[in-house]
Amino acid sequence: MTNPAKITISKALESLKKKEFSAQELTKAVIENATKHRNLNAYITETFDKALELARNADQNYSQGKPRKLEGIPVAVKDLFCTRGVLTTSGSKMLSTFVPTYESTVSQNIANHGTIMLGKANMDEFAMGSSNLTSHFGPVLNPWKAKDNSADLVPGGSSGGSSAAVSAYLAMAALGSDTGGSVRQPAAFTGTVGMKPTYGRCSRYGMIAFASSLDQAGIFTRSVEDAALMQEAMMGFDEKDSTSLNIEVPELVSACQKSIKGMKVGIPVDLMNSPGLNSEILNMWQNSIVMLKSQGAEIIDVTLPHAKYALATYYIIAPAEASSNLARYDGVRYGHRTEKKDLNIEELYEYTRSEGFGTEVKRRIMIGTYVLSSAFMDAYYLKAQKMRRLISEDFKTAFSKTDLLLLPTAPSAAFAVNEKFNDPVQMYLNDLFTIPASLAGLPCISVPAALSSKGLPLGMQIIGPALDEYNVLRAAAALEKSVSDINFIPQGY
Amino acid sequence: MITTTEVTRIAKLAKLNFTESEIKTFSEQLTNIANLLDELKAVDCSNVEPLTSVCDHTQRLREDKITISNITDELFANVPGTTADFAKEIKCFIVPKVVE
Repeated sequence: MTNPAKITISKALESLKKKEFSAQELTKAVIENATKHRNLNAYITETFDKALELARNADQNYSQGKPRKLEGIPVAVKDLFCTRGVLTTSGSKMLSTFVPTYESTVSQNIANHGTIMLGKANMDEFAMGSSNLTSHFGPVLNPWKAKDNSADLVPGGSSGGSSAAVSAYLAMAALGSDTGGSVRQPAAFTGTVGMKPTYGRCSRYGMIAFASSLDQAGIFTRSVEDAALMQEAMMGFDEKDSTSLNIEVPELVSACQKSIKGMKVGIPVDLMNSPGLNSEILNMWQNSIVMLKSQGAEIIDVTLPHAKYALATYYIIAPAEASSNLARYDGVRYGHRTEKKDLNIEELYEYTRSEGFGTEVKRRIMIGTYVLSSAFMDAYYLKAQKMRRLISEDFKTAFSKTDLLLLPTAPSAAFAVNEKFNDPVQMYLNDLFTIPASLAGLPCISVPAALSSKGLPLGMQIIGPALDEYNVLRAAAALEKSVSDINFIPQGY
Repeated sequence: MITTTEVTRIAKLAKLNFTESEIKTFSEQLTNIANLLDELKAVDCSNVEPLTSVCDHTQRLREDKITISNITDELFANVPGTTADFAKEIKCFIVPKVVE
């Protein structure tokens, strides 16, 4: 029998229904992997005992003939989703003892459909990073290694624990969050599928805030169809989030079987000259165009003239919102509080925050405070909001002629854990291709589409107009089919 | 150029404190980041309305009605520090004296 931990969710659900294996057997198999590969540091907190208890319930539901839609599927949950009674750290010392008294809507939604949480996935501190190197709980290792090189690689970030867990079979799916690319980029680095829906589709209630106008929950899976299944369960209106969209959740799974004949796929050709874009990524891009064309898609060249300003725009808006959101960590109501004695209130705040936050988080708070300070507010923050409109309008223009856009997810493959980035701007360039869709709030997905000459996975990104998750998945499934001969399983897993 | 004096001023606003060497590093890094942000100066946005939210809909309002109540214990469940037990007992968050 194939190892139940190593099949897709859709296949596992079939097998569970046919009683080829039980939910308990499945959960045990995934826990066994997670235990064996603890060196990857994918989980901050493991909840295996609770998972086995839930698996027993799942088996009862199967035997009584009333399984829920995702009954018995073991998943990981990024550690910024508040989970009632389970430590939730957001990868930070600031929240290293925080046990929420309430559950995030998205984690509750999938649990209501029968998923089983195995634990809380490691992440960059407060989701700020593209490498998982900023976590207070240590870096996550990418299960992939380059050919002839034993150097440990990053799993991408900020949802690095989630991406590594799905890639290495330590979970069948993992919740992530995407503010500027934090689901798509790690998916590309680990050979997994990573999807972020339209802003407003998933409730942000109980998600620890980074940049509220950009934050959106996303999902990691090993197939496009699994992403569709999980998205259907995650999305939906929630009155507890003022930006939640009050519209019906679409059926998405059938998109994965639908032909892309006649679909108009736009290629933002002006991005082909982006700085730092390596030739292997360009080759993958061109091959993907050919593959979609051969399945009947119509290829149309478009431009996103303001996309080159997206990085600067993002690094004003996201830190501005972060510095405001993170003002709540004051050591008074919850979170870390300095142990220093005889402090006045200002000193209590300063010591608490300086001890509780890591360097990257402090850097972003500093940028945010700088761009929001009275002398620079108009020059930076207001200007960035205007740029955000221009970038958003670029997409609207492109979608007046096309159904979707196709571009790479990241400008390079996964880099080494010990690679030095003395200049933070170098690290920020990782987000070059993911940020534009985030600023416009659009649905997007990263699909593994090639291996680099060093044998590392590379991802292509598909972006759709607002609310059109269906066609995003449709094209993603077509691309996935075209590369089905490539093995996206890391060696030794 | 973001000077060390400027960094110190921002740190005060952000309620963070740094060592002298951290301030020096931040001065260099924030200058680089500000140079990246200054790319936006090349674009004329004088006739563009700022985009504050990608949600087209207007803010939803709800009735001014209590929906959650009696959660005092939950609110104090994660109160930190050596005074935590006392805070839970008297149901007040404890801070240093702020008025003379």
